[in-house]
Amino acid sequence: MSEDMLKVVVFGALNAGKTTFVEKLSGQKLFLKGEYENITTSFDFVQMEQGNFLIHLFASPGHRRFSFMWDTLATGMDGAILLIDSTVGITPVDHELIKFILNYDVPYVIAVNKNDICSLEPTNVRKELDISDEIPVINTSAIINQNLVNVLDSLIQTIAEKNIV
Amino acid sequence: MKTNTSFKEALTSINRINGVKDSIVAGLDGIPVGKIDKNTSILSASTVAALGAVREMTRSINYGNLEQLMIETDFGKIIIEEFGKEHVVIVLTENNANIGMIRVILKKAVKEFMVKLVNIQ
Ligand SMILES: Nc1nc2c(ncn2[C@@H]2O[C@H](COP(=O)(O)OP(=O)(O)OP(=O)(O)O)[C@@H](O)[C@H]2O)c(=O)[nH]1
Ligand SMILES: [Mg+2]
Repeated sequence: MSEDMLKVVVFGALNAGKTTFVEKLSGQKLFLKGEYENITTSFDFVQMEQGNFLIHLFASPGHRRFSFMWDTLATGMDGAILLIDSTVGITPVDHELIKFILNYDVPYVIAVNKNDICSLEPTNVRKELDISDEIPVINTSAIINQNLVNVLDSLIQTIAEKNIV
Repeated sequence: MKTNTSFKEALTSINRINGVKDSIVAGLDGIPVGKIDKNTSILSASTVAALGAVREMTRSINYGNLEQLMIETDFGKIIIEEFGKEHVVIVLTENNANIGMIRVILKKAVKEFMVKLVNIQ
């Protein structure tokens, strides 16, 4: 195969901006956009190239009712992105999602989204979520495409580092 | 990859069945095995998600193990079946296809494939 593939899944609470995140990051019309009245009821999917990788990019549903999709989407993922909604702050769902991702033992990055209207200090986020310093925490705005590529790049880098050792 | 070659062989025999338009194998990660283009990627990702959703449904009402998923459209039927422990096979059939026959041959192809897989490993 000429190109390496990575499966990356975006998680986060309801309305955190996951669908917008994958739309803006990929800069394309999504291949699949599983929503009803702007709430993701199944999942979103798109492919993009980044750093010599073909990325299979998925976004999960945030609504509790569809959380059974999380495991299906997480199967075989190489890395995860957890979106925090700055306008809401850290909630129990975020703690639950961190636990969920840790269970899969893959690298992950935290994107503190909606930075255009409300900003959370990454150090505070880290403290509140009780995560180690190695986990990148990055302020983003999906809507104005702020730092989205940085999030993906740091995830790719963490995945690459993990695969070397 | 030896398993890839066996997948290809199994698909060739499935595609030879009368009424089968096409078939692809996907990993349970939703990524196609073999040719990866936009269409096979979409088909794989949505198939695996649908399978997960329907399995959740049968489990939540205690309705046994999911064996096969069949989708009917005005174009024909799509048969989805687990292919070993980590894959699914998706078979697109024509409207007038003999579904019973296809299912029997499909089961046989999957079984033969599994035997081969065990022999490889
Ligand atoms: N201001 C601002 N709004 C955003 C940002 N990202 C998303 N939104 C808005 O937040 C709302 C929800 O965005 P979605 O992308 O649908 O959120 P989601 O996480 O996919 O929602 P579910 O899949 O239903 O959980 C929409 O109105 C978006 O326009 C952002 O970075 N800044
Ligand atoms: Mg969404």
